[in-house]
Amino acid sequence: MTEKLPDSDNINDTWAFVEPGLSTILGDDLSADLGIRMYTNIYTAIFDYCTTRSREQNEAGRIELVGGEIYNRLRKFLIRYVQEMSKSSNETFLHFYVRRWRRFIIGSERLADVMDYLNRFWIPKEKAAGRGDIYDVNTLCLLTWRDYVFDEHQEELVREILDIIEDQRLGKAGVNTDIQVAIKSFVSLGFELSDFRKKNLSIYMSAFETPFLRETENFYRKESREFLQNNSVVDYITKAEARLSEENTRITALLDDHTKKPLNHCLNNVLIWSHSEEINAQLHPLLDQVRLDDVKKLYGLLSRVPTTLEPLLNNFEDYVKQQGLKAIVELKAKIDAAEPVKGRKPEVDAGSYIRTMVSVYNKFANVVATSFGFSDYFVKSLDTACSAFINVNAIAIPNPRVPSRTSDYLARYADEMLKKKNDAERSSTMNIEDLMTVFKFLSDKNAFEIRYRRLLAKRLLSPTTNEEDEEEIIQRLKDVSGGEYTHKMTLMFSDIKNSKDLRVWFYETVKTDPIADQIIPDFEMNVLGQNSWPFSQFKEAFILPDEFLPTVQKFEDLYKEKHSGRELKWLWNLCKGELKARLSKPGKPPFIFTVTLFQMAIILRFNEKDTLSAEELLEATGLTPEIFAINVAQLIRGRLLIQSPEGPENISKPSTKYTIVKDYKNKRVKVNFALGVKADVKQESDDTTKEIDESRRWWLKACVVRLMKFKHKLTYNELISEVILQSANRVQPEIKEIKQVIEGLIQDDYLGRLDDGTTLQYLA
Amino acid sequence: MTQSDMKVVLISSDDERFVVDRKVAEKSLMIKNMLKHVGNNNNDDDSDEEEDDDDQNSEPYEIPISSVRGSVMKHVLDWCEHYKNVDFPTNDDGDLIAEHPVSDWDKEFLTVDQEMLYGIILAANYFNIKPLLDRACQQVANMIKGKSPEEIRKTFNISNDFTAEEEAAIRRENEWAEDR
Amino acid sequence: MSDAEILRLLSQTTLTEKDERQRVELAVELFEKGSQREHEGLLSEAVEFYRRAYKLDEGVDKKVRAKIIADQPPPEKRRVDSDQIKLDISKVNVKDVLNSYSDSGIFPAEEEEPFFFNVLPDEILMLIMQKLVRQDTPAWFSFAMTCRRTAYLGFHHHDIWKSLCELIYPAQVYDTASAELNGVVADQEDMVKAWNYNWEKMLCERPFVKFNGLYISVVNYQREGGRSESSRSWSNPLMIITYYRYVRFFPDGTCLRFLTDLGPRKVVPLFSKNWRENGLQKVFSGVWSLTPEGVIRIEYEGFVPKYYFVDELQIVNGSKHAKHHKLQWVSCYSVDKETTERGVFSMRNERPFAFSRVKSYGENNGE
Repeated sequence: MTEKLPDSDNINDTWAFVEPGLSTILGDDLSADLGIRMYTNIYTAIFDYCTTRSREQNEAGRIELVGGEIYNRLRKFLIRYVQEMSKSSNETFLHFYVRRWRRFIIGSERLADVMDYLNRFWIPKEKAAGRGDIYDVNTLCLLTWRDYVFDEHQEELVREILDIIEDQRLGKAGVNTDIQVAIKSFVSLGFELSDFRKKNLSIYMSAFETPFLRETENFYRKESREFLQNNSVVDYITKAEARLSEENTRITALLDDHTKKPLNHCLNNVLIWSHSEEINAQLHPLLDQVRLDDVKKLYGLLSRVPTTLEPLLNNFEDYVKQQGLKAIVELKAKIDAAEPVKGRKPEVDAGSYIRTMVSVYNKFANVVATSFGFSDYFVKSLDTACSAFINVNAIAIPNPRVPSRTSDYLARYADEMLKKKNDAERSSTMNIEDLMTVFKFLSDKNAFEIRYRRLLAKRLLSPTTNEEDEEEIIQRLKDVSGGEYTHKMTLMFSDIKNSKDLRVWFYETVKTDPIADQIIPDFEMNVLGQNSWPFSQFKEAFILPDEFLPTVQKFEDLYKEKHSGRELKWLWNLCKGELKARLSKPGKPPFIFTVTLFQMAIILRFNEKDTLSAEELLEATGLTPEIFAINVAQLIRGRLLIQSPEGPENISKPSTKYTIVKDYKNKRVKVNFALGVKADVKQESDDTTKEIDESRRWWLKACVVRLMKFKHKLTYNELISEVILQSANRVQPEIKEIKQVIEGLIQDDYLGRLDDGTTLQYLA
Repeated sequence: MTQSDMKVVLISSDDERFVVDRKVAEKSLMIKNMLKHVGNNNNDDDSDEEEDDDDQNSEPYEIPISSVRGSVMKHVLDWCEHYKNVDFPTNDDGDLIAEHPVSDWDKEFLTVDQEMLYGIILAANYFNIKPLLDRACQQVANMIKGKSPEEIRKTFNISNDFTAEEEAAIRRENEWAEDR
Repeated sequence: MSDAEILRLLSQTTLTEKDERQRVELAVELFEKGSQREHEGLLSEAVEFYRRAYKLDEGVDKKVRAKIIADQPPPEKRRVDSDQIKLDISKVNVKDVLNSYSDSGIFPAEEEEPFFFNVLPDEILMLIMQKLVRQDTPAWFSFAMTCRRTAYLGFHHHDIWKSLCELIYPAQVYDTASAELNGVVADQEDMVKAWNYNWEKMLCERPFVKFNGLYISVVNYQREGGRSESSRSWSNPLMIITYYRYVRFFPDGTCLRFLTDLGPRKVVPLFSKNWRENGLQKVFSGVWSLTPEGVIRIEYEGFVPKYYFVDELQIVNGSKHAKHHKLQWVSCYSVDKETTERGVFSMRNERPFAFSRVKSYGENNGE
């Protein structure tokens, strides 16, 4: 290289001086040293040329800072330079490309600095003048590379890269840094047209990403098909997961982030979506075999493609429903096949029925937790399936067109559970959790409320019930269905509590009364609200024995004084009491008889005489022959009274005589005669059904009015579907019934029909 | 030897040698870029620099600067020394982000005859020392402000080479653009 | 002359004996007195002065007008030497001339004196030129007018025009809606595409409001004076009315609007945002915005709080060589704030505004 700088006025001299150094800068060979002298000389020559020969004019008639000539020669030089690069005979094109590229990007940076004066003045001015085809030196280098190296060998290069990736997939090739560098170079070569300092992915995407995705899809389509022909679906799931994670590692290591989305889309499509039917079909067999881990894997794979989950959800729902229905059919078959006990065919007991359903639920709740990661969708699926088999099954609806009996069984289940005294015994077979599980799915919760409340009323009036559990259940029901749902039950509890206080107050008050000695000391009266308690009034005749009169009279007087305006009505039919009977042998303690109030009225008559006729007893007690018969029957069966003549047909005959047994014999001291006095079971069941029907109709009416008040106008059909929607889980109305309610409201002028005949309007 | 201890020798066109800290010399972007690339073959990024510097023998770089004579070089290096610890932020295009107000030190520094002032401008341009170039040009601009064309010509000893018609016509054509 | 002197002069009946010059001067003086009386509201006195003025010289109104115009300061001293005005420059094609300078060098005026300016390459001269454009536009102009080389760089190079555009347009306050509609954006690089990257052309063609001066409109008109009831005079005096409108715009979107009989010499130094402190009265401040087509809309509060007032002015070229120099009236109206009903004012007598550069205005922001 000449030491003397060229004539700065002459482009040919200047270029001749500069050119040999440029090859060194770009790097014919990595070891060639770029010396200070060479660097300074080239920099200075370019600087001198530009500053000295500073006047030149372009065709547009505008002034142009000098530089165009050098720029053009540089461009030609670069083209020639990259075109003359050649690969050695024993290297792959990829290797050649990467080797030269690595050196070239260093070289082009150096070139840009050496030609700094062009970059600083000439190029920005040209660009400012709207010359879109002038680039800074570094960009010019990259563009030349793109146009003359990359574009011309693109196919060859990408083919080699894709082949290596395929070999890697087949396990035939290991990590290759060359492909990494080559792929990165595609990103460096994509320029934002509006601003060449910014890079975009245009080259990367068109040259590499598109064919890469295409080949990826082909590869895995073939692989997955072949694999499934020779292996189980479960093995395939494992394989697919492994492939997915492998490909994601590749993205991080090799590819631009942009590819992540399309690649995953492609993989999901070919590995999962196209085989989703086969995979889905495995759910039932896997559940049959309780292979929850495999179900989890299956779910894990399919959840990558959300559209495949819907069939899986349906599949699961069907399975749970089938299992539930099957379990109940099996239970029913078992009971039907059982030997009759005491001549009576065994009936379905509430405990077994509820337990069967709960165990199905628990089993699949566990599946949802273990295999489906508590996914909301599967929780919902499970719930749908459970409410289907819990409300409608072989036991709940043994004959078509009857309301589901599940609410009845559940109320009885609760009753049995609460009546058991032994905590340990109870919790093993019956518990509140199970009760609530089934309750949650109950579609006619209103019916349950009525049935439960009837049983609750009886429990509250007998001392056996466990108050803590009672209250917990009420609280849990309230949590699920709201305060309105448990309102009446809550009132019942407070009535019982208030009655206790009332009794304390009563005995406190009468202590000083002149007739205090005539008051029965342990008279336990309860004051119960008529609206919340399921008792109908006692309308039959009854003459209260004189022994009770002062107490009852005093209580009524004091109560009315305390709560004026309230009316007390006695439910004599529900009263019970204990009698001390001195019928035992001398020296033995007296018997204690538990009797109904009516029995008591009868027995007390025998204090006066040992033998009385039915006529006398009926007259003294005022009871109807029917009630008399029920009550006296237990006394006869218990051998306290001797009937003459015998026979049920003679019980209420006026002439029949009754004689009290003076030397009564019983192993026990305490004898309960009240137990057998069953209320009319059929009557009670009819009452319940009637109350349920009425409550439902009332509920529907309220629902319609509420809706219409809010919406003002609705068509008939809209209204009906809204009502059905709102009734879910509370009542199960038939459409006919809703229509009746609506017609009733129209007649009562709550609703009006518009002229079009289909629209209803709310009338205030 | 750390980078800041390193010395660089700049040789002026009249063969005067200036030994300065590398840090001072690197106020010149031209020198800075050159040192980045030179003698550092596999220089992919800046982080290699220090290691390689350690490998260098203690022989300082000698850089021949044929375009700048010693008297000007001295001046320019004085400026670099004065500002060696000051950063002048630039934008993506390499332009200074703010036109720095000319400090008193700069005013004093630039109070030189026109020959030296232009020498400094040319050297700052060659070395690519943007803040210095900017300040020196500002100095020239200040000499122009408030003067009529005739006064400007006098200040810089510039010959009026217009014909009278041309001068009047150009004036009339462009005068409006003074108002903004 | 004091009023007393004038009356004394008038009382001397032998005016004809006065020489012509004195007679005319006296007439003009009388007219001005009349005008002054009129402004003070003393109409009958004013009419008396006018009548006597016309008696002395029938063409007194024209002479007064000529005097007023002569009194107006040339807004900024034009640096055109008087002998150059006589040059016939109409046939000079400036573009061609500048083009022909492309190879010109810079030469010393005195060979003996030291001369170094020619060592600076164009890039450097451009850096200096750019600084001047940004810091002191008239200095750029003066520098460019120094010699052929500087004229070539300073007037011919798109970078200069680009800098001017980038200084001027971003400072304009555009009407948001119409700017959006017309695609006016802050990035001038984007805007100039429509002018095919010709920055100079864009600057010539895209109207803008100038801030380093003010716009003045001078209105003269005559109207018949009223005769007093008791007057037995047969003649009906004409009154010539002169008043000025001044508008000054600020880049912050505010403006000052002033209607007065005070001449520019008095008004210009006081006409800033501190006009009150400066002793001016009845200056209205308002807000302005510009449409891309060059219509300025000024909105201001007048004396009557029930209304606000709107002036609409179109920016036009003063002449081929005075771009964006004039503001023509488009309309002037009041708007009832409640009903938004418009009351349009007649602009028949109004004259356009012309721009005058004021050196001090360019140096501060009107404080």
